[in-house]
Amino acid sequence: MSTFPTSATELTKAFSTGELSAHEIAGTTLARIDARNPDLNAFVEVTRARMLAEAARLDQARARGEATAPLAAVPYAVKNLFDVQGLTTIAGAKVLARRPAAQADATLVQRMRHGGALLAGTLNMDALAYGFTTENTHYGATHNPRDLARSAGGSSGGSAAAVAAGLVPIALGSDTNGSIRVPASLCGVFGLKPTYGRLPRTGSFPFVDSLDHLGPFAANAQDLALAYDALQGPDPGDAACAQKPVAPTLAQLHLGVGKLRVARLAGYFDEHADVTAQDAARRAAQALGARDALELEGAAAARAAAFVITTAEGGALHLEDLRRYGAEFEPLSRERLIAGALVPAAWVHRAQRFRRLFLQRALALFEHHDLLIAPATPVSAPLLGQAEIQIGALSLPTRPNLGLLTQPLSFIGLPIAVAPLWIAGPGGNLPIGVQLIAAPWREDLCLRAARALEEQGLASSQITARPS
Amino acid sequence: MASDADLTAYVAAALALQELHLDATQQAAVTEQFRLLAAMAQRFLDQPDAADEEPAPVFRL
Repeated sequence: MSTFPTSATELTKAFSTGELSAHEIAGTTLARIDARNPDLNAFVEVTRARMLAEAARLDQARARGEATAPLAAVPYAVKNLFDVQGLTTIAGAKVLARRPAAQADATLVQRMRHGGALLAGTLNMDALAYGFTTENTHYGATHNPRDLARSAGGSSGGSAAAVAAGLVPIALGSDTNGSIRVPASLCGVFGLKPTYGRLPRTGSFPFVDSLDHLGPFAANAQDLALAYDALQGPDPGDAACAQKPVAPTLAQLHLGVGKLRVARLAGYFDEHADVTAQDAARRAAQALGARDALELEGAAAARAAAFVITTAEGGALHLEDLRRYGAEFEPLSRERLIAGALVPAAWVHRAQRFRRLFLQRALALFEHHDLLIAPATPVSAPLLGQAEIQIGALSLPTRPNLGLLTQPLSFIGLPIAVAPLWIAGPGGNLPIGVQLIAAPWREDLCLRAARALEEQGLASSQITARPS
Repeated sequence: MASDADLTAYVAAALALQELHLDATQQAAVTEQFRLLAAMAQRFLDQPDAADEEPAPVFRL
């Protein structure tokens, strides 16, 4: 081939037709990682031997005439909170490096492997998934491939950067308060945070059990659906995982949004977005035929409740290590975790009760609408080390506030896809994502909307093919 | 809302209860973070409440 495919769909097709061997795909991927990762710091570990062994098995199976799996020969990588057999799951935290190596792959890594995908390595993140910038004191910051001086977002910053740089077409991440959607927005790639309980978290290191979601990043909406479909299915290992049958989405993408009732979220979601972010949401809303601008009452309180639950559950989870190894914790989040361990139980219970009330308010909006649109981040990618972001006249600390627009929505577990738009702003022509939000269990609608924006030329990851 | 002195005293007592022994600088930083959490909590504590909204403390859809 004169150019190496950039998408999972093209790669698996090139493998299944014999145009490329899995060994060639793995070799090219590893060479790219070697070349680009020193500048990006997206990968923490490259699983070279495993990737080549998986590729060899695929090539042997094809030589025997066996049918190829849906993700055959697709390179991917995972945030380093997923268990990978033989590696220590560090979740971006030095304090966890003393743990033994994982005995088995996480359930979602197993599903990728069974789908024929090739694991390239594990990816950088904010320590313990607590942060929105992937500025990690112990493992270094991940740089945004669109501008190396800027943050990749977080906490799944390595995952988004690896896809945006064209190193792998698919990556897995986690999203507790926005950790898939924020980096997808800032790096300009597609991301999906499925409904809470849709994908099993078995074998991943938790942050906030009552808020944690796992999901994929991809170079386009079709790849996102391809990966999501391979990841679905119940798992008794995760008590929060719903006993839902697999609901394939890939074949639904062509349906578009023609008959869907679409609205834009205004109020809180306008007030906490700068001009560029608001512009992105308005353009997406117009392209998808939105007629209404709605208010989701209580969004600021929802964000606050998610914030308090996060610190309380996170602080409780790490309390023993905070006592014993406090000096080894990430200094950017250590004191907040300790403060979380002191939160009165009455506040947490009240926050959980408000969660149910807020969900009911959101579900009322879905009685008259199928899809809601909001910006994914208040601003496009800030500079690494930038202390504050500017939203109109408001200056806010960067690290906790990049999730202002994602946090109220993951609080109630709604499925959300992020599609990247490109709008010239103060920092140049940087990407910024829009959230495509549906009612619980309707990931298909989120993905159809992402695909529709792509087909209209409004959303794109702008990953260009390079010579093989 | 609790006074600043009440919050400072609460943090000192809770740190001792949780056996978290910090130096004065770190305790001040934790107190500042707790002050932020208290302000955040006030936003949802001011919202309507009903005892049966979330019967279990673990969220399920």
